[in-house]
Amino acid sequence: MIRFSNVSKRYPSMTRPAVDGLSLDVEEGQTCVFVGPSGCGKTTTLKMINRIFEPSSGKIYVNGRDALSQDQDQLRQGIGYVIQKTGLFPHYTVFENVATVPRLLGWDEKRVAVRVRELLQLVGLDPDENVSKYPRELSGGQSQRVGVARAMAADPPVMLMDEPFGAVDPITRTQLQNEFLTLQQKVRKTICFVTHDIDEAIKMGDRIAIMNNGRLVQYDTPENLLLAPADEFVAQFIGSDRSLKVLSLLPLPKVLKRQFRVVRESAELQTVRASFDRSERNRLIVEDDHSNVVGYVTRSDAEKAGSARGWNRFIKPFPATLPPEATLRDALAVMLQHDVGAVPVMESSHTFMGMVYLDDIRSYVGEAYQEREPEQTVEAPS
Amino acid sequence: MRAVRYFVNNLDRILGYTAQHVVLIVMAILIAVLVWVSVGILVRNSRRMARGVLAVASLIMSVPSVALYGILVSIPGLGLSRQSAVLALVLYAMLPIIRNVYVALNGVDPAIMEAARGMGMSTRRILWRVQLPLATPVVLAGVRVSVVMMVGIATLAVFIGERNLGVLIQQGLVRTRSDMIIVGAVIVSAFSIGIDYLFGKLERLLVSPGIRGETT
Amino acid sequence: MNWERLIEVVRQEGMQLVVQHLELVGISLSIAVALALPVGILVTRPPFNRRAPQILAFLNTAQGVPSLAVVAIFLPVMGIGRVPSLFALTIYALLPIARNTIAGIEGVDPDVLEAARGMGMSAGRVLARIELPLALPVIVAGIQTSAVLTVGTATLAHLIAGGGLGRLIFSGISMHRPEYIIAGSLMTAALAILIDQAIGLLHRWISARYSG
Ligand SMILES: Nc1ncnc2c1ncn2[C@@H]1O[C@H](COP(=O)(O)OP(=O)(O)OP(=O)(O)O)[C@@H](O)[C@H]1O
Ligand SMILES: [Mg+2]
Repeated sequence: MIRFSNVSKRYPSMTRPAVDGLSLDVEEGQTCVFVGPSGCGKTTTLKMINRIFEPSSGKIYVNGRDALSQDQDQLRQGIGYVIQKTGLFPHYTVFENVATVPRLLGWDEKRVAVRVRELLQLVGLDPDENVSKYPRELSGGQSQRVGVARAMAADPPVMLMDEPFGAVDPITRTQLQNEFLTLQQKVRKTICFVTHDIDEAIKMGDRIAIMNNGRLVQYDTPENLLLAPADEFVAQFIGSDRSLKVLSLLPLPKVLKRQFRVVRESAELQTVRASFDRSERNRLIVEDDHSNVVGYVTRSDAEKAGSARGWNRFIKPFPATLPPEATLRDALAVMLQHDVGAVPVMESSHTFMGMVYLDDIRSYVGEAYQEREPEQTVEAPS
Repeated sequence: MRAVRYFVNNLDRILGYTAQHVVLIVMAILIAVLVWVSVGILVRNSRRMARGVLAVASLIMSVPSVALYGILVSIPGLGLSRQSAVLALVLYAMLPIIRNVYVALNGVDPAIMEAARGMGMSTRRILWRVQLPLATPVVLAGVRVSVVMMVGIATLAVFIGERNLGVLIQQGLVRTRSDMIIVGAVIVSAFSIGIDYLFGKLERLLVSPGIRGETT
Repeated sequence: MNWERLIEVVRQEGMQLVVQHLELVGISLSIAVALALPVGILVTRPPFNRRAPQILAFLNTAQGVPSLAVVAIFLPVMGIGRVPSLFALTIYALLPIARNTIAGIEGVDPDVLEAARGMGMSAGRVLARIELPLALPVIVAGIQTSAVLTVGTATLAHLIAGGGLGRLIFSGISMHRPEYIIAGSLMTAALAILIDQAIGLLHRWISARYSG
């Protein structure tokens, strides 16, 4: 969909190239995030795609066509472009801003109007309330949404986004990121996204391109990047907490222990003891008569209990539970917060699905690292 | 008061002078806007050319108006004519208009320019749809300064044959008639205040509400 | 037109008229600076500073009064000659200087002022060390505008017998003697441009010394 083939860019004022021999493919419908320290060439790379900057050498293909030999304005009309400062036209209303490219393409006004309203809805803005506003009447987050709507107006297959959420507060930012992900699920555009925030990159990207000094250092999925950084620079850039970051990419089911002994609240002490006898675990899950989990009971408590139903008063509720879509990072957070070594996973907060154990997380992550460890290359004797 | 009596008794003549004043200024400002805005647009992308043009303009600006009239009427072919008067006024409008056009066109937020280019708008379309509309308040301010200046300088054109409101002041001087001087001065001053007001209205008409009340 | 006659005119009357003209400009401009600067500063101090926008608007409007009117309007009361000419020129020269002094001081970044006050600088010190130096370019621009205007307006002094280069221009027009017009106009223009440049140089010299 987008292909860089040995692309370099030199600015006259610089001794080294701003982008140096970049080759990379972004597949259709995927989000590629460019990330790296300030001045590493991310913005330059992005702007070469819509030829705001012309490469000094190399080729760029967009939709299989050589971007550099196309009519520049036509090329740009087929690429959505979102920038950090939004670049909304202050003398145009929200409507006119979003309508810019459809009008450039000569759509009739009726179609433009329908499209604008549809887009505003898509980015979560009430059309009736916002079409006739001017950009200065919008909040930062709203401006950004209009910016995204404007970029998507003519339904371009490709979108370029340069730190689109860089200028808003962290809460709005998270919100915009989540909305963006939902939106991208629906529209499946090919997106090049620039950020200098590695967490945002991990969250948004199908693939991440880490750059340094104009060179592509690693181009990989977020998981691979975290588990097997190509070199010291990448490892440093990801940060010493990369093992924590990896946790947020790993889903719970991998470490979920599903085989569990369950007893009913109404069961006799004998039944409970029998269950313990057949299990090597020291805890039993306790359900009520409607199969709703009410808590657990420990082996030692069950032994202490005297009467047939007296064990019921030893039932302890779980201090915390997790939804099945939680990540390992969430699990770890809950364990640390409540100072427990295991947390139950519950579907819609009462159907028991299994337990997650701290030890399992530890060993699972360890294995994941070992698997991706780059193979030792044996130097051939010369 | 004598001035009021003079005004009432000579209303016809005064209206005639006012009309002459208006005609001169309208001619000059139309030409000035057409020519100097175009020049401003032409030099907008060349710092060097803009510098040169603006240097010439500020040199002209510092030539006293009586001297400029004097120089123009001495040029064969112009002489004591309306052309000389119009040309002088047009020349004085050069600096405020070109400078404001140049500054305003180049003062458009780079992010806006980049967004426009990124959407595939042609250079011409960007000029007409983005840069000029955004520059309008500043350009208007330049035109406004020019017109107010012209109103005053036009009075001096009586010395090169114009018969406008300056006649009242000039004749008042010659005949030591304070009533004429006062009437002339008051009308000319009211004239420039009125124009200031009109430009306020014009701004509401020409400038998008999205940027109104801002000075870029 | 005849170049020898032109040169003759300049030689015979030119120098004397240039001196007269310079006197008119120099005296009225000096008085104007001496009056307008303190008044301008005063307007930016409490309690007047609340009225500063209105005063600025008034000064802008007053600038719209044509120079011819200003020169003429004192004739009935003051008669003709050098003194009325100087008076009219001074009044006219006040406006741009006062306007730019006020605008320049008002234009100083409020954060900078707050920082200065926060460091314990007295009001006088803030004015001398912060406000005036920062407003200086604008004030100088006002003096330049004023000087150029005064050189031009001084040509009108001839109309009330105040002397100066206006004499060459006006008699040239009434007698249809282009060499007079040209000599007068070129000398006036040159004078205006020279004074403008001179003040600019002076400003650069001062600010270079200030920022050492
Ligand atoms: N228009 C330009 N002219 C000259 N040099 C430039 C230009 N734009 C960028 N550069 C230089 O090219 C290098 C890469 O810049 P670029 O803007 O691509 O970095 P970036 O990775 O986007 O950085 P940031 O995170 O700060 O936005 C920098 O050293 C920068 O100084
Ligand atoms: Mg950047």
